[in-house]
Amino acid sequence: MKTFQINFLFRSLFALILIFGCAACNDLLEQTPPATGSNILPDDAINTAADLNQVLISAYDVLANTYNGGAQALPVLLSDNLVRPFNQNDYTSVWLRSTSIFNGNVSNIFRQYGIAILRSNTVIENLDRVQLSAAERNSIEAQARFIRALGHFDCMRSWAFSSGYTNDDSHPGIAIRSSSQIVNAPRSTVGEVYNFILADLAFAQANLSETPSVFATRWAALALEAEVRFQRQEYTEALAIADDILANAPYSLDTAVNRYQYPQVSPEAIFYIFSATRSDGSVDNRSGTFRTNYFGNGNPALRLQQEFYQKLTEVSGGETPRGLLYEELDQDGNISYITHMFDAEIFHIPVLSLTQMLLIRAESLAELNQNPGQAIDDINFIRQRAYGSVVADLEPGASANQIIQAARLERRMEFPFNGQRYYDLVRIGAQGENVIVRGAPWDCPGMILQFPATEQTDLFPLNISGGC
Amino acid sequence: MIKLYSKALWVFFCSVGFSALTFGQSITGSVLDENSIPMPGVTVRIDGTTNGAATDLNGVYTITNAPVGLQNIVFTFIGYKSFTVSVNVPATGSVKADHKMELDAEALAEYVVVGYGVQRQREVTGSISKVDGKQITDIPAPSFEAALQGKAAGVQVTQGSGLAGSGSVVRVRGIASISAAGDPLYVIDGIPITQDYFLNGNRGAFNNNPLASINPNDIASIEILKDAAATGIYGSRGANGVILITTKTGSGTGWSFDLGTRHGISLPTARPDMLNSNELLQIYQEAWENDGNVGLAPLFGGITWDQARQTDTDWVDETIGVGFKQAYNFSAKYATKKFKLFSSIGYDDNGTYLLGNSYERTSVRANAEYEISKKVSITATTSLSSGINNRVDAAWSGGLGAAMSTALPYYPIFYGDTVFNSSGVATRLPGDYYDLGTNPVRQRELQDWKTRELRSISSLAVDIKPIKNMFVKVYGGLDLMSLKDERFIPQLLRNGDRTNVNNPNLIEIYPTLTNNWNTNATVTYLHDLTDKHKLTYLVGFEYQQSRSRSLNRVWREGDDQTADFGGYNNGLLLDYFDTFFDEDFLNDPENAERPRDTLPGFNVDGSNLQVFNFVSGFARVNYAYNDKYFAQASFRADGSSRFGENNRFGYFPSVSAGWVISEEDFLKGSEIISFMKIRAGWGITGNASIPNYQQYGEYQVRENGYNDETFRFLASPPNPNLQWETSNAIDISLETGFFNDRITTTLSFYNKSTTDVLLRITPQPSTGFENFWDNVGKIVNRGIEFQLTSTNMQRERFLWKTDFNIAYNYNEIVSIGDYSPDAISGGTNDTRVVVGAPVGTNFLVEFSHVDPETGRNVYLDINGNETMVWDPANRRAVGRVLPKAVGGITNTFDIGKWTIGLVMIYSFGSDIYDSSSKRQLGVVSEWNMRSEITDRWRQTGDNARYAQGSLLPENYGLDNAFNNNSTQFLDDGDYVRLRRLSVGYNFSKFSIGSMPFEGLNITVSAVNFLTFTNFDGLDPEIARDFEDATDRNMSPNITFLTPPQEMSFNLALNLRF
Repeated sequence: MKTFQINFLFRSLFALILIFGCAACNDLLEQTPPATGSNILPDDAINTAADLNQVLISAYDVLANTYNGGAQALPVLLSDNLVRPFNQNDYTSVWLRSTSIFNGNVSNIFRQYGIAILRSNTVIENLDRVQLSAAERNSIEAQARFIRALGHFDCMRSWAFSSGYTNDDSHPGIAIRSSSQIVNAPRSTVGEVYNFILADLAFAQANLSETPSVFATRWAALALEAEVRFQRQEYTEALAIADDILANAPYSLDTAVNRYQYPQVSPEAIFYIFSATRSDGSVDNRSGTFRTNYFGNGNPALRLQQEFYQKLTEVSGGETPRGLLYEELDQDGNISYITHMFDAEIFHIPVLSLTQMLLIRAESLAELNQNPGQAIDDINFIRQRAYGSVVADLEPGASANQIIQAARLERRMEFPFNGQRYYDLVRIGAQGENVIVRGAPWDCPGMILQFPATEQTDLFPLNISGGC
Repeated sequence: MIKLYSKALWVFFCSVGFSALTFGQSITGSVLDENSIPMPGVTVRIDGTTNGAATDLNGVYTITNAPVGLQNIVFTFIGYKSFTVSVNVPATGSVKADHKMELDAEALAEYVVVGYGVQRQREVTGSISKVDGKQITDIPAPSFEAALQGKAAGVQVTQGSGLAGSGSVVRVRGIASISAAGDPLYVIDGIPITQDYFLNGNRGAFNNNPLASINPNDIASIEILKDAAATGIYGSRGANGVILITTKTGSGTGWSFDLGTRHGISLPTARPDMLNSNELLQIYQEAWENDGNVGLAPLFGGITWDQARQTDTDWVDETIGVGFKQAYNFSAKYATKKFKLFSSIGYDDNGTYLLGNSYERTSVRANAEYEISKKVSITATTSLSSGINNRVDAAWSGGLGAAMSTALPYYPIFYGDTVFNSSGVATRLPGDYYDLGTNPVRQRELQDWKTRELRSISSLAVDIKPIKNMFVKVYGGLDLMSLKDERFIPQLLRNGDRTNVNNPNLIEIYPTLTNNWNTNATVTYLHDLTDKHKLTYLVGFEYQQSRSRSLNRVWREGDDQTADFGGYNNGLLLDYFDTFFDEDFLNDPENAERPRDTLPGFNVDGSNLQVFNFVSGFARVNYAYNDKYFAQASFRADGSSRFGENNRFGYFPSVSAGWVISEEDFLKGSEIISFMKIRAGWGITGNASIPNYQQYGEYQVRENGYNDETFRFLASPPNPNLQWETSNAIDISLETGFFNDRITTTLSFYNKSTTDVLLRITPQPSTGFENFWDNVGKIVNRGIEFQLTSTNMQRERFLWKTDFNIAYNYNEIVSIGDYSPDAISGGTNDTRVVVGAPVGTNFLVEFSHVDPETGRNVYLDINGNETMVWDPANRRAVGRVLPKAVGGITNTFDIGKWTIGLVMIYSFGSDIYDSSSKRQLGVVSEWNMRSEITDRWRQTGDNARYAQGSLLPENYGLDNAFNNNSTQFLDDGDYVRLRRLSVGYNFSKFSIGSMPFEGLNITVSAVNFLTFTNFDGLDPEIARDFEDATDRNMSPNITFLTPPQEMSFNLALNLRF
């Protein structure tokens, strides 16, 4: 009896071990996310060129949702173009130059740059997974590297002091992200980040198409480099690239002052965010944050400084194409200054434009003391377009300094809401001029934005908050 | 699988032969139970020999070959008193010895349910607390787990808020998880149930409570397994404790019935004291002027100063009142020798003090056991319950939360006059709800919002005794759950403006179906090596799968309210069962060809299928020597679909031992120490509460991207190494009984070290990833528990008993890898993960005082220097949400037929962060403020509690009014609460006419009626709404407009017949 009981026990155990050890167990444990719907396992995600192209589109899509006014608002708020925002806590602390690690708006834009860069890196890392011709492969990689360069550049322009803050750009920049791996990255110097950006742009310029498109072109990569060189006060290089674009690129200067247009894109937009008409007839409106910030049914969150408004409207009593974009609003005795630039429901958003190349050329020429006639012509083209007459033209004998001041003023007035003014203030400060922005020096700590809390690691020190 | 396995066993069993018995001179007789019914299976043995027999189905036994002469015959049966009788065995023939067995109440109470079995309390070598059903229904609570509060040492229960049906946060011996759910595993009648608190997310500031639909009246007992020796058999899911719930079964003889009713009222334990209209206008204007402005400050909600001065709405009054409760339970028990039945039907309408809010549960249950033969019995349990939560917005979502924040007292409830738009068209009529500012009454009255849950938990078990001492059990459990959140939002609520017809009536439904089943088979073998050496083996395997399908949002516009959610709920029951077994629907609900579930005219915004499974094998060996020394070893191997491919299986061993010292000669016969046992255990357990699919990483595809193109992107990275958390725990306990067990105590020490703690990490945002799961951290829990039960006084008509317990827990996060305190995503909480501090640490800037010169806030920087700038770089670990000690005292007095019960609970050593105060007592804003704000700085020299009023965050040193997180709003969280006082009268047997009754109890009780605390806010017992598991682990004791607990007064009747 006892023997039988023990036998039974062992046989039962053996049966159970068989059950546990069965090969099917592993299959039972393979519960992958449902194949239907929008979720795909990484192993199945990129099998064709079309799949890879969809990843590239995803990087553009981030840009489209970031350069919708959200990214631009932050440097505008740091500049002297606006008064304190109305009832907007996150924006107010940017304007007060005291952003903290918990500023939702600031963190979100920083994160968006990271996502655009991640998606670009995903494209680059998966090039070998699909069949592509060399040209296709280079074009896809070049677009990804353009987006990666743009992400790093615009992020660094607001979260680190401008090139020139230290002589050798050894001051803290941002993290360089060249792969999709989750690693704690150190804080690279501004110089290191610029080298990374320029290497990406060189590749992009060598491999992108010259044909205008809603996507990045060789001209876009060149225009971005012009911006980079100009921000670094490398005026010789900036001038050469701006000249090249103005002479050879298939774009023409717009006749309109407001270049946020629809359905046609401004003819001078070298790289822009495209608002598509969708297949279902609706419109992919990418201009939402511009409208939210500046339109607001006459009660916008972001409004102009009086001094700036007066500059915009001083010629011909404001009855000029430029002046008519602005209005003085009297609400129960509370005076504010608003713009109508973003009143349209839908518009494309120029990011890199020919007018900027014109102004880079004019200011670079003057900085280098070259060809003042060309510089004055460039300035005057813009003024005549803005005022509809020659009334505000620079005199033919204007000095280099007058040209520089005129170029800076025009840049401020041509691009009042995309951050150019802030980039100019810190560039000018970095090159040694005494720049005071709304009562605080250009290099006070809060003039750059604070990183989100989790960017901080032992290798990555934060910026100093406030102090302006 | 069940079928195949059962067949195989049957074939095996059929091959077994049994030896035949031989007869000589014999002892025969019959044995009856306490109800005089023949009792099979009773062991009858000649004392001092191994010669004996068991009674047959008719209760008859025959012992053959009995020695001639006077013999002592011993009758034994588990749960009955053993009995010895002397008989004189003749040389030939037989002698008769009958006996009627008596129930042994003490012996019955000694048994506890353990994982996959029961054990005698005496033999248990792990830490297990038992709470019986009576204690659970004593305290009126919509959800049974609330009643565990203060009843078991080391079990911390923080009750949900005053919202109907809200769940408690239960922690067993501290908390060893951060991002993975820290709740214990709930097992009902053998099935680990669906216990996801986030099936409905945090909609309306309320997490669905998966335990609310279980009728507490159906519960026979709850065992809380606390240490690794007890939970080791649950392997990768045992680390945070296991709560075993056993439902009732039939007992006694024949039919018995129980009818219970309860009626009560609900009131808040505290009431917010908000400013009235004049007070708010005064501080707002004062702040406006302090900021250098002139004239009257612009008001919110399109209200003029004249209108504001004439309006004074008390929104707190408009959102709270008196809630009514009623509950009816009827149960029937039936028992014969072979068949036992328990069935019940219950209805519980649990209204709360929040106007419009109640939880209605209707439940039926049937549990049956049938002994097919001596060797085979079958047990089936099934329940069906319907929970309807009549929802209101709360906390940040509205309702009372709005009354405490953005519903300003100068907003009216209704428009008094017609409102015209700029074109002169009337958009609002007199009597329409005011809609230009927050109006919680409008929200509540216009919308119709219900969360409906239909749930069935069932099990079927076949117990087979193929040979002597061997018990085979084949078990299947099924937990089906349908959860639908339904909201009707009328056009007027969506638009406000009567002329706006752009947003017609809207029906929204968020349905989730969960089909969770398990099956296991166990073989238990009792192996008596000698009379003294006894072994018990258990081996088993288990498989569990859960499939849960949610539709993201099902919606249709244009219906009217009477359409019963567009017919969606027609055929509810049929749909319910159809749906669970319809694979097509679970896999692809939008395209499933199911007439009742085609959703006419409804839009479905996508769906989500969650599947997980566990495949497990386990074994346990128990050794007992001479009823004095006990040892146990257990082992479980768990494989789960949630683990990464590099860590498919986890292995979880445990060993433990117990020594009943009082059996030793030196203590035997002691008049003081009647029982003493020391036990110790070690084991490794895990926590596998990882969201599904996290190991795979994911690309997502979206349409209508840039240039109207489809796009795909890497949303989360794969982690093939993802695995369970591992807890390595030891427990040493001393159980003692004094004075014939009149006083019993248990003292336990434990140390639990948890490694590979699952963290949902927010990496550097520049990586482009929002978060990912990894096994990174290490947490230590150690503590002391003490439990005492004492019969303080026992007289003929007076009995006073005290149950006391207290547990101290030390909790420390030892490591979080290279990550910063901010890197663990914690939802909306204001706590952080700080190395060297406990889970859920208040990580705040230290507030010093209000500067008497300037009226500004003064903070302390990281070096302790004063600063007027709130800078997050100065945050420090300054508080803890986890109490150091919790416990309870229950005193029961039986005076004649009267019973008085007093339950007191306490919690010491925690802090409360009153997160709403940062707005109610901070920057003057679009929020109403609390009356304490009158103690604010007004002029130089004022020593005020709060800063000078200002509308500008920078005047408080802040960059944002919401970032005002400082110790200014951190409070002492200690409290002692009189949880329940009850007075009952028991009528013993009586008759009405010819109808006999067994008894009647009438009890009045008051719950939460008295609390001692230093907390300045509403209620010190806080489990707010949570965003996710991390939030739930880290944010109890954080209140953000959280409704206070309810106080209730109840009258209960219980009639037995």
